[in-house]
Amino acid sequence: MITLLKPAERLGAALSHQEGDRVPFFLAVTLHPARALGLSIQDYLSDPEAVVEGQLRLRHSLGHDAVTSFLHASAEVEAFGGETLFRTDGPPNTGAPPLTRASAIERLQVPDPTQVPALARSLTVARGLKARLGDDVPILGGLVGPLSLPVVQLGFERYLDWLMDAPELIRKLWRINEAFCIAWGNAQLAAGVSAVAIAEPLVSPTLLSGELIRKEGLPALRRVREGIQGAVALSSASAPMGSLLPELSELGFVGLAPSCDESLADAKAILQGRVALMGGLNGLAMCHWSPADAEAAVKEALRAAGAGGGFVLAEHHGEIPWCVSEEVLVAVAEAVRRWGAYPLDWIAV
Amino acid sequence: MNVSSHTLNQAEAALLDLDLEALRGLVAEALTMNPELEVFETLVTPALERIGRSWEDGDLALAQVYMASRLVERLVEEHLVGGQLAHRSQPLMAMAVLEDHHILGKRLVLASLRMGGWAVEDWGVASDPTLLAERAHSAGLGFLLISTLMDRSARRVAEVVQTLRALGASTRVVVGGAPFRLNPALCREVGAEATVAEASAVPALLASLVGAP
Repeated sequence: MITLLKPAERLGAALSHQEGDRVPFFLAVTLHPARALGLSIQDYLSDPEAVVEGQLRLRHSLGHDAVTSFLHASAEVEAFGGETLFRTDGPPNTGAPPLTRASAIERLQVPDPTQVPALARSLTVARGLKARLGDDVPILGGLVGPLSLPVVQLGFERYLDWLMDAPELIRKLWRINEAFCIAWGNAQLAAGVSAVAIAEPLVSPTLLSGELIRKEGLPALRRVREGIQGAVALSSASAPMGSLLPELSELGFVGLAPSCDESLADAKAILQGRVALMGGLNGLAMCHWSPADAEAAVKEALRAAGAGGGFVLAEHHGEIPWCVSEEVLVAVAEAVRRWGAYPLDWIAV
Repeated sequence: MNVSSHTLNQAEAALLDLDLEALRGLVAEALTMNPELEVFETLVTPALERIGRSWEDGDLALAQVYMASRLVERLVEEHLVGGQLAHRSQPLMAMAVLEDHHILGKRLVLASLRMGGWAVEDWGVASDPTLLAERAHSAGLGFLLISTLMDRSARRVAEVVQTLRALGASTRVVVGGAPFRLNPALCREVGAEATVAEASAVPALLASLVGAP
């Protein structure tokens, strides 16, 4: 008789590199619950009770193995004086960069995340989800990493200009961001999240040079990981981790999510038995999938990385695009239940 | 103008080392025998293209491409006559970012185009696709280059194209940015004419489009 595990047990098995009852999966539906609840994206993300209800509703319809209290990345820029621009048909974006002068960096202090209304809403969501789900279903928190925050704090051009012309300013900003990330991660854990996922595209050697990342970025990420008093995963949010993957795997993260352009099988081989691999679904491609495409993609990911545990099927970027239909999400969920049950004997056939 | 692979290697190395003096020296030497635009087209542009290709192949970082482009910008500024290098015969062109404040693409593309002698107006950030199309029509643009970062913004290029068609404009739309690189089918889906994966390839793309109306 097959014993079905609870989602927390299933994820725990995967993170321990064991085969549970099936491959766990998580679809980062940060926007879709708005549609399910008949709310605008702005109204939905502004109402913690609606987000709790929406996450539970999607958890019920998809049966995936986690929920999220993450609202939107621009909330973190609000901590530094930035603004959020809501859209009716896509994720909120940040407005103009808030830090445009060197003097603003020189005066900058580490913001208290609990005092930022948009971040406080996310904490309320975490507490609400924890109250409803207890310890059975993991709650994933999230934050933007210290190297990537400057893209929205300064604007990418200014970030790279200052990296060339005033690197000390950038180093100061990175240190402030490290402290902010640690405080923000710990606040989420205190509110009830089970693990924090860091989105850090700038850890990709396609964006910053590998030399700079090794010298400044990896130590910063290690400090953030060590400062957050709980499980931490790292996503490069669609940017390839490339040759840095082995070094990233040494930083103590429980899971890593490289780009959809990278080979899942190769990444699994590098991380095997040490760090869980997350990913396998290309969010942008999902916009064009039929249910049959979804099933094929799930099977391909399971074949590449499912055996032996240590794998969580997920969308790489960290947010399912608004254009992905609920039909496709359901097809992904059904395919995981159909093909993801351990042992994955069908792979050998 | 024939450029040896050794000289091209030197130019590429100067760009990656951010060594403006070395780059100036190579250009100055070439200018003793060749016209300015030709020197940029056959020496500096290919060196920057190599760097762009290395980024596309995953061997270099975008930051390195950007910093090399900035070095080229400085060099071009030293040779500017009336806002650009020697003029080409070309349709009116402008470039805008749709809906986002946080991308580098526009600056990289403008640097590549100006180095190649193309005159392109910088229209900054456009928040409304319809207004962008109306402006392009009013200006009589031959080409509108649109850069995007977010998938949603990329999909809104369709509104620009539809508005241009509704206005009867002959403006041709070229797009770029991460959503189009990650999803090559998106270019046709939104009705744009062409896209390329990296900025230094835009001059060659425009040259082919201008030659093939």
